[in-house]
Amino acid sequence: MIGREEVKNSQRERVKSFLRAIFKSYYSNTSIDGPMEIERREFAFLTFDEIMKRHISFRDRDEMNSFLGREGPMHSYYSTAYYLYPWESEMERKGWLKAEVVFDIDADHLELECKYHHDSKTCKECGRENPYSAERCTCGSKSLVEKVRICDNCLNKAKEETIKLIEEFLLNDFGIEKREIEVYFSGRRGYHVHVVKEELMSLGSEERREIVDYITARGLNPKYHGLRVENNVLVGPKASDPGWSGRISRLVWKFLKNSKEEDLKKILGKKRFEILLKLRESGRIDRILDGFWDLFTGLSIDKWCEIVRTGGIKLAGKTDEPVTTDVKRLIRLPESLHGGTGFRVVRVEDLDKFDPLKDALAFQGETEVYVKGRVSEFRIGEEIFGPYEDVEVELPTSAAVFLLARGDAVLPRF
Amino acid sequence: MTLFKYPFLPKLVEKYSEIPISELSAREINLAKERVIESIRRGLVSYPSDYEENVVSYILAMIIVASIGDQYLRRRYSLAEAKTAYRYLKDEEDILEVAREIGVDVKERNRGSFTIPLWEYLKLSKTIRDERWKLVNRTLINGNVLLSRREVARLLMEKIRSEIEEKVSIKVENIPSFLENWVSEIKLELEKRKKSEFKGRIGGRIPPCMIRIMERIKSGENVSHQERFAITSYLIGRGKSIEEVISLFSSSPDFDEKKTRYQVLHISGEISGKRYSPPSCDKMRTFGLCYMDEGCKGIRNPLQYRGVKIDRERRSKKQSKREG
Repeated sequence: MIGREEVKNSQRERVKSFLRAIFKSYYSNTSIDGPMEIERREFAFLTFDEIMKRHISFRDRDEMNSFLGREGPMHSYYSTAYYLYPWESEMERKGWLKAEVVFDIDADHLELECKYHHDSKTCKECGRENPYSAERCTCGSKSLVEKVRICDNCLNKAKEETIKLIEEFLLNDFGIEKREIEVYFSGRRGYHVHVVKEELMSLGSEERREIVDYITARGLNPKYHGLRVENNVLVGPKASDPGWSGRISRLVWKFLKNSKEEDLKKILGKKRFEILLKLRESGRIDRILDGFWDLFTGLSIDKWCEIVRTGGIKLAGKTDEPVTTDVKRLIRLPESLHGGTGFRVVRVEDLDKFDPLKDALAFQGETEVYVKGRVSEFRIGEEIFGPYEDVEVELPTSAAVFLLARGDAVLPRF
Repeated sequence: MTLFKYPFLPKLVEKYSEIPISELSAREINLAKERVIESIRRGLVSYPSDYEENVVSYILAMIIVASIGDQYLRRRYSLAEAKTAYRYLKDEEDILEVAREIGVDVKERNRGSFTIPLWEYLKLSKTIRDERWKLVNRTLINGNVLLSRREVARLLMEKIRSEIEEKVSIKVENIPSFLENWVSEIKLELEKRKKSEFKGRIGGRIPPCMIRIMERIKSGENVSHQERFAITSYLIGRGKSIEEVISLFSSSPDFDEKKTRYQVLHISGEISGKRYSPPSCDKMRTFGLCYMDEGCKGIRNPLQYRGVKIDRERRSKKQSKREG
């Protein structure tokens, strides 16, 4: 007699070896460029047996490509840092030289509503699936693993944030040139932005943290951006001012113009809220854009600062801090496959037109899978699949791998 | 040239470094010694009115500081030179010229307003801990940070400080024999200063062993694992937050926030469930980390220092009231 546990395990094993084989064939038929100065980088791989291989280095592209073809790793990473001795296992002995500046924008960190609809938490004890908001399983266990799903909303929000980061901050404020910026789809629901500019590569983590703080508006104080009392009149930055000054003017204007009534009442008080309605009507509220902030008599600078902080952070950029500040970070290898989705970590030339669910697909042909439990609708390419529930289906291989990789399907005939 | 008043300009240093030691006057050597001593005592130096003497004494002073090889002196001396330079630089008409000479890329935008490339700004301002110097509170135009003349001077001061500190950190194997006498005199002065600085702080309620570790961390030195453990467990024991402890370590040269956070959380008991208390005074002594002062009498663990100190302060207050 074979127990239920064993069946499950052998199912899992079959999926693993299927994925490994299909990843291998992808790598055998693809020649990946690899990062610049490949011999100075550390590589790391997570195999399908979940073994982490670190401190690997390659002499050249060919060596890397044959490794990938041989191993077919589930996840592949390289160091944004350049080292003298990338193969050394101790950090101190690697001989850090410099590192690319990298920004990571992931829907996971954008606090999107949709994740409460499509993400879930699987219980490690009983295998039951719980809603994303659950803190413990219905069986009482607290060991839950997040199960991430992708929807067009997540992908679009991540894309919008990436565009904002590049246009507003990198190009405009930081003066980085377009040709020094490389954008990659992360393989799941985000983007990695690599800045390859010699002057920035030698910055340490502290300096990089300042860059992140600038983007996310941490520590922003409007007093240093010209918000002050002059001859008893409150003046402040205007919309056309550079950097955060202009942004502050624009965001406060936007906040006063569009926010919900209760939010405004809370911060302004009832009386001032009524004045605000009149200011909106007469259009005098636009004076903020020209630097005249004296809309309400007697509203202190501190109160204005609070308004900037409440309304303002919305205009700030979003990027995952540790990825940028860690100068010894490993990041996904461009053109490698993401083991949780089967998507390619693909270079994006035109973000506006980029569609990850179409442009990051890696496989051709069809594959039959057995969908376990319920899987709601999802899109791959131009086609919508599902919803499915405990059913055997033939899918385009990219869609099949997508379900297999995240554990929503197994291989049939079991 | 008015710029000649700045002894650290590379072209001046280069020129005067070529003078053979045998040709130096006793007066110049004496000026150099005084320069070092003044830096120890006042945290500033005085420029001799003759610019040649200024440059020569500056070069010699650096050799002296380097040959003594004391970290505290290196920092104090380079800061003193930089502070003195700042006093002149903040009103310097030719500040652009000075910047160019020492290799900082500053440009004038309009009268009295300057710009500096973003990365240069980040490197030079990172030691300045003030809200107004945070990048997010600056005006950035196309990769350049807007600055006033005074602010340019402040950044140049940072550049001067770090360059001098780097220079005096070079190991000098053979101290020129004629300097040897001065060296012992300076060492004496240095010990005096260290003691009084220490004393000044003992007024506080933090034990000297912990002060020392904190200072080492703040000045960017790499501290041992035992020192990290001691200071973390001490601060946690004193009720400091995880964030406060992490921010202390952020000036470490090899700061890794994730790692630090993990270690701090571990020591605080949030991961392991076991909160570690700081090493006993006995252990601190074994590690060579004990720097006992009067406040340490009768305590067995650095954490007791504060309570005992407060008790003593109260008692002596009462006593002085009674007497008064």
